[in-house]
Amino acid sequence: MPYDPLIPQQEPGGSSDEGLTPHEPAPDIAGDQIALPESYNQNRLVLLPVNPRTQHLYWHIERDEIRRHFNDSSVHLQLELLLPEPGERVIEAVEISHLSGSTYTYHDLNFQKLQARLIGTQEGKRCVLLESAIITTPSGTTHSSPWEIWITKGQEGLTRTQKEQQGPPPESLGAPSSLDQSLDRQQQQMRAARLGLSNPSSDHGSPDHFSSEALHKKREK
Amino acid sequence: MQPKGYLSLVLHSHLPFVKHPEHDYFLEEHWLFEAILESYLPLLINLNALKREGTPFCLSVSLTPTLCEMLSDTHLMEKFDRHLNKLIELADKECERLAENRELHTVARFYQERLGQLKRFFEQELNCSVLDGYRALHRSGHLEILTCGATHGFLPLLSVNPKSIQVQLEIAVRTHKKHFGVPPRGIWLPECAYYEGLDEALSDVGIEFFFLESHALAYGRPTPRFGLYAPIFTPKGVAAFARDPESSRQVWSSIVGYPGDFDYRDFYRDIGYEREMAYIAPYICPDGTRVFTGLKYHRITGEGEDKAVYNPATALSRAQEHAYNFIFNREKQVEHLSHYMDRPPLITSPYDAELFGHWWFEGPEFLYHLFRALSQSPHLEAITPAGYLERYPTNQMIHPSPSSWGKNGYYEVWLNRDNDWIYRHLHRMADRLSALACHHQNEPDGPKRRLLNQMSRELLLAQSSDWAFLITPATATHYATKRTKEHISHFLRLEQMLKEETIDEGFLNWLEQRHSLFEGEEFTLWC
Repeated sequence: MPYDPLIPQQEPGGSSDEGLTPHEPAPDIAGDQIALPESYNQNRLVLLPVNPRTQHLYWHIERDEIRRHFNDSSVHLQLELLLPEPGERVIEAVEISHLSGSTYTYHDLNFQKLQARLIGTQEGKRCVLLESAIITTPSGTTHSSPWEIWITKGQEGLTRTQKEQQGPPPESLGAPSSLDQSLDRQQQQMRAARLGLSNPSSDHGSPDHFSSEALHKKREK
Repeated sequence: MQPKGYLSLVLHSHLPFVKHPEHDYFLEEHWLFEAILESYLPLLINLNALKREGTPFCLSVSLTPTLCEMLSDTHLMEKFDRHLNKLIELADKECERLAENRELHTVARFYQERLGQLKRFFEQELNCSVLDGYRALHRSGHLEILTCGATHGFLPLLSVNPKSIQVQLEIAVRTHKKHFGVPPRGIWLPECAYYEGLDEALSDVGIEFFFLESHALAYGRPTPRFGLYAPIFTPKGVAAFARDPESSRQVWSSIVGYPGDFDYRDFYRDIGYEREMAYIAPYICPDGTRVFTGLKYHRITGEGEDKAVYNPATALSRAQEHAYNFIFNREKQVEHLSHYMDRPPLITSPYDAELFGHWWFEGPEFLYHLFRALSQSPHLEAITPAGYLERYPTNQMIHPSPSSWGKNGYYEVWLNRDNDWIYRHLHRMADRLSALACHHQNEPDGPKRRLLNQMSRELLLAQSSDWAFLITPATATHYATKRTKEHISHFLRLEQMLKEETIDEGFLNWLEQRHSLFEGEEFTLWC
């Protein structure tokens, strides 16, 4: 296994047996050997936003839950993604064949309420088996409004005032047309370095080949 | 006289909870020791120097609950003391070894003196308590200390269980009170991550303000009149301050960032990797794994493998120049911005605290000179977020966009195909603990209560955003996966013990000793 500064060389992590306490339990096993339950037998449908264009879903439904609504097991299951307001509008429906699973969906949704449902259908009967919470998707664009609301926070609490909007703010006030991804990248690398993971950037003044060499050195024992 | 603009500097200090009392030496505990030695102590030394000189300054520092708990942990601080003494011994050895090499010997002497100064400061001025250093500056009004989520949980992805958010925030506030004697006014949201509705949970625990990535406001609803240069209020009346990209870029950017200056110390060339094993062995991992020692003799120099010897005096002089350049640029910035605003613009510049010193060795001196330069500026004044809100209590109401300061600005660093398996466990654990907490809330003191308290700690530790962040290719997948799975499996084992009413006291004691944070916090918070 290649050396990684965060991976202990002897389980459970220390490099020396000195100092083991008398009550030390049996050594832990490696992370990838710890078995976690495949399922908790809990009915659940969860919808999570990833970014303005991507959503993540995972679900689990017990066979008993389906039987509570339908006579036998020949039920078609379908995941629906819907905009709950104003009025309900289904934007995607996908048939599923497993009682547990996860998936990603791709819809460009800026600042919209979104919900998922697990629907069962059988011979014309349709039933909502599971519902996710309603989430708000992230925004990837600017938003204008004819009104501005201003809040004053004082001893008495919040006072709200409504004003007419006076034109959009100039771009120089920081409304970006796109995110500065180079900045993001730099920060992620830096954070990895902070945690001792290193290779925080070939471009903080050190050229690429040097960084690679340094990383290689780190991996040497 | 009113300045043309304000600068609010924010340093976010965080490390995940790592404590292994069962080992004399543990690699990952050195994250903390390096951060103390290279970032926190140098920062406190420089801020104290400003205070002694009477230079006016103020800034905000977030100290996460996990970091506060580690900094006040006797076992970890004893290990830190041993670590520091070993480094001092190594620096002495280096001075002897390099006695004949004038250039390198100068650098070795620099480290010898510096480590001695750090030790004296830590022992004599801080009484071996890093937190005392922060407390003193907080009391004198120079530091505004912020809190953060209890274990730096990525709140938007935990919000499936509102109880998780409530407990992450309540424990954050209570831990802050425990360490600093007062409740926090502001919070650094873990990973700067926001979702719609979080402001209500913040308001419920008395938080008055927080920080957001730039586009959270720029893409908010509506786009704010003053862009990123004035705080906004969320619908619940909590203030939010957005990061200024321009000042961030000057420090972070690979192209225009200061830390890449050729005169600054090179991060990689460290004697922990360069000296022969027989010589360096007592100062690295006992099994021979090489580690950074912090003793580095070269400067960045330029593009190429040949590195020139580091010159501390030249580097510190560059830090001073860069600090004055930073303030010059902020003055120009507020001059420009003030044309569009009815109040002095506020530039909010947040950084990871560990950037200063650990990665950018001269960073703490840069900050020292930054405040010196700022004190001489007729146009710009340092201010804390709370100070700005006191002067300007009327602000526009905006719905910030869900966002984070991770790569691409949203949630994908913490939710992608490599790490999405975590969440179904975390969500189920939170559900389960809430149910158990309600069922056992009147349980008398005893093993069951201790067990439930430990279940709460294991869940909170599993929720730490650090693990999901590190489960990405080319970082620390194995360690992060192991930590996540360990906390989940500990939780499940404790749950099983509770169900079967057969408590393995040895296992429980071991967990309590190893994951000993948030002592006194009761599981009933989950009810």
